[in-house]
Amino acid sequence: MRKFGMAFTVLTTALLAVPAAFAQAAGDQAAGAAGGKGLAAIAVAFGMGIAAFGCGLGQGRVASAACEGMARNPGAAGAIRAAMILGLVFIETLVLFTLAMIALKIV
Amino acid sequence: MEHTVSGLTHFVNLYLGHAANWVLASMGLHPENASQPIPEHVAMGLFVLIVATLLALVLRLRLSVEKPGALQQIAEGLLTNSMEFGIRDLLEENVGRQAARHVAFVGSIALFILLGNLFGAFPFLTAPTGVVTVPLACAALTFIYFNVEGVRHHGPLGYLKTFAGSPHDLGGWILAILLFPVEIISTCARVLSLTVRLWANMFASDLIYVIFLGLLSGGAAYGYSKSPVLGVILGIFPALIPILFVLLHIFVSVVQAYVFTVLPAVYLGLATSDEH
Repeated sequence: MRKFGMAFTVLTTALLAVPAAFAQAAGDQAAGAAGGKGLAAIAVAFGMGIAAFGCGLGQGRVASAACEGMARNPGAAGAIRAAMILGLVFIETLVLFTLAMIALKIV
Repeated sequence: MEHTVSGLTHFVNLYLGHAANWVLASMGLHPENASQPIPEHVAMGLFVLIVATLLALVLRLRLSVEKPGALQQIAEGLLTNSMEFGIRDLLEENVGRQAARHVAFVGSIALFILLGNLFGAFPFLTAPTGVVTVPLACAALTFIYFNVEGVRHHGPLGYLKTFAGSPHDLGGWILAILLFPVEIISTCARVLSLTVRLWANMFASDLIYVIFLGLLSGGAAYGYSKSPVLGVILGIFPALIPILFVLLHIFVSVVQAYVFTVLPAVYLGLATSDEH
């Protein structure tokens, strides 16, 4: 455990320096022309829309199955609720990947 | 985007700025802003650490078997719970034996993330987990930890064999050629998914609050330019509706901390399991 403690300290100290090193990593390479910005905005809207659409369908199925399960078996409601939250989080992660890519590449 | 830092970061940089500059210079790195070398998320992360340590020390002074106070009950509830939500419960469910050994690590990360996320709901404080390097650090540490535990349990070659599906016979070994790269890639992808899930939730939570505040304030400012009374009446909306988003942020914070506890527990269970 002591070695792990030392490794952790070294890692934390190194992490203090990382933000400074990555100063302009995902810099401003956005197209200068207004056309480029406009197209990028449309692409963002479509991307997020499609992601949200898929997420909505998937999470709707999760929630409906959870409600049905809890209605049939109220005693297992706690376990079903835990599984439902976990499922929702996993599906939401995919939409957030889309958002992260947009934030990194376009915004 | 404008970049204003909180008073806490100014305070930390006032006292530790020179030391931080010296450390960075000795490594050959240059901070973005030489007068503020310690970025906000680092200062907030240190503050989370201080707050958590103070809470733990206060808890220690007030521990009692006969009459547990509120703080003790909260701490016990975080650890083990009648609804199976506690850290030790999740570990026992997913890891099985030796769950108690992992409580320290998984619990530390879970509490850091819980407190760090909740900081975003307070004025003058920002969530350290809203900057991508902090969730990356937590995910990388978790990755290192469950791999080390897997190697400790199976031995290095045995651990690699579990990636190949623990083959016994020729059919198993042939399948292993297909299975091994897929398993390696999916295990390495866990770092990315843990990081992005936590970071994007915190980032989006913040962003939605700011966007709605901007939209509603724009409406109120327009109303004010027409007539002061209308402006004040419209000003009720940007005053009250963002409260809903703060509540959403608190809910998302707790859920994300729970997920960042369950997932390392599941990964630890997978890494240290003896199947077939």
